[in-house]
Amino acid sequence: MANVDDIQPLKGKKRKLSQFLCEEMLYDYATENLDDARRESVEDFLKSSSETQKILSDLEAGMKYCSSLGKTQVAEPLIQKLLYSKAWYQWVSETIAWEKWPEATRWTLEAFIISSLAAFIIALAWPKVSHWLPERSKDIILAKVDKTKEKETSINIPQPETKIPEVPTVLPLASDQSTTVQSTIVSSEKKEVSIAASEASNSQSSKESSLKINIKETNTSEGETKPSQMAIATVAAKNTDEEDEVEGKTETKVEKPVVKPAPKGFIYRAFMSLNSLDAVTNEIRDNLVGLGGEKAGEVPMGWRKPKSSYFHFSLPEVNYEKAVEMLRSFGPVRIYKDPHWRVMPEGKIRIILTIEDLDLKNKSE
Amino acid sequence: MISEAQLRSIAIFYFYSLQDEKLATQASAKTIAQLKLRQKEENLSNQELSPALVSATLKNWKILKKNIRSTQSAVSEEAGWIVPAGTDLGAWRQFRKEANEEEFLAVIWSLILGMKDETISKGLGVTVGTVRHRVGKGLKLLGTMVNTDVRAARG
Repeated sequence: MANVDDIQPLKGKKRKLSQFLCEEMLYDYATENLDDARRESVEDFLKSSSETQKILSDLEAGMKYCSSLGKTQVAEPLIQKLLYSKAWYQWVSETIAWEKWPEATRWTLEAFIISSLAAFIIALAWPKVSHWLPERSKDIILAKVDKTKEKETSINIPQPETKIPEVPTVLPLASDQSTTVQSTIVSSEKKEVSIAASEASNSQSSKESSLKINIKETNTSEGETKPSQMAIATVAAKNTDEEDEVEGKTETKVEKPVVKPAPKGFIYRAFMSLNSLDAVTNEIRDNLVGLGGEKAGEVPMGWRKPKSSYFHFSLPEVNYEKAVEMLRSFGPVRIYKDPHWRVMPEGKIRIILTIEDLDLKNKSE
Repeated sequence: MISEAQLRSIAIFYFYSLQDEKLATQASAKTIAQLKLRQKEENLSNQELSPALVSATLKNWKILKKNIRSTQSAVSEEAGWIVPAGTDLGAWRQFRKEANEEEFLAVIWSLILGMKDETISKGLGVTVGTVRHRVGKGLKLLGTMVNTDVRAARG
């Protein structure tokens, strides 16, 4: 609908209005806001339209009704109440009279409120937030030492035949290989017990350790030594696997030695270097199976590694010599016998045979 | 400082728009407090406060209209509003139910409170023509109800 302010006064002839247009102008007509020409046009239309007359009548009745409602009065008590009414925050503010407080007190209270609020929020939200934080490193127990046996300050080494591990059998060796034999003959009045423990890790099996106990008797007299104890020698396990190496020996001299339980079983470790490894591996495997050899580890016998073949098998003890002789027919072999915690059933032995690929080794050289 | 006339206008507006004395008192107090604050912050004269009165009453009415009770409340002098004798509010209640919100409020501001169309248009942010159009349409509907009551009374 056009804005009343924009309506230009009619010029010339009176305009004939439609009913819609007339009805739209009725309020302006009733409030005498029309120019003369439009007013006359509306009046002319009204003469001919009873419906528009009715609408005008309703309009005037409504205006009269509103005029009467406009005379509503507001009681004085209500006026006063509204005049001096305050919003709740104004009432609180005036009661507390915050602005009149000393500045130090205000700052202290503000700090207290903020810190209390922060602590409250943190306490509420902590269960949800705590799992976002990185976990603290927890202490992991690597080893436990039985301290009850520390009371033994000295170890009386019995005769070799009682507790000393057997001297391993050393077979003919290749020129570039050697066994490690260590023996000491000691004598003295003062005994010093040292325990050397070496551990060699084998990637194919569980940890195997060889316990070497050296008993030294230091001489307190003037240079004379009396042999009183037999040397005990063991050969440290040598792992010729190129991927694994012996991971350090730790020798600990303790005044109160901790005696670890002695391994009850043993294992044979054999090492060879041969050409045409693939063909040889299959042949050796078949021969070992023929002698009663069975897989003792997780991988099958003759498991092929990049630079070697690996045999972990059990064998009837009675066929041990035959097996050794069979291996010798292929080439030189070194065998070591080491103590091991794993105990085989009676009549059976366990052997780990590693055959190095000589062709590959020569090529690399 | 809000004039007493403006204060009465606010009270009467809520009385006729909410038709609930308790709500009208609450709304009036709230609107007056808001206008006082606004007048203080913007340093408005009473004349400049009139458009703000329109916008403030509209805003608070929209918030409080949800709380209008369906039951008709009795009007008594103790409540604070004194309706002219012989005036029947039946037509007004019917008008409040059936009219468009904009037309209903425009009638109150323009014809009951007697505010100028320019003041109302400024407060609402619309043209004067729009205000007059709303008033005209609302008035036609109200008039129909008033005449119906009259005919029924004569009936």
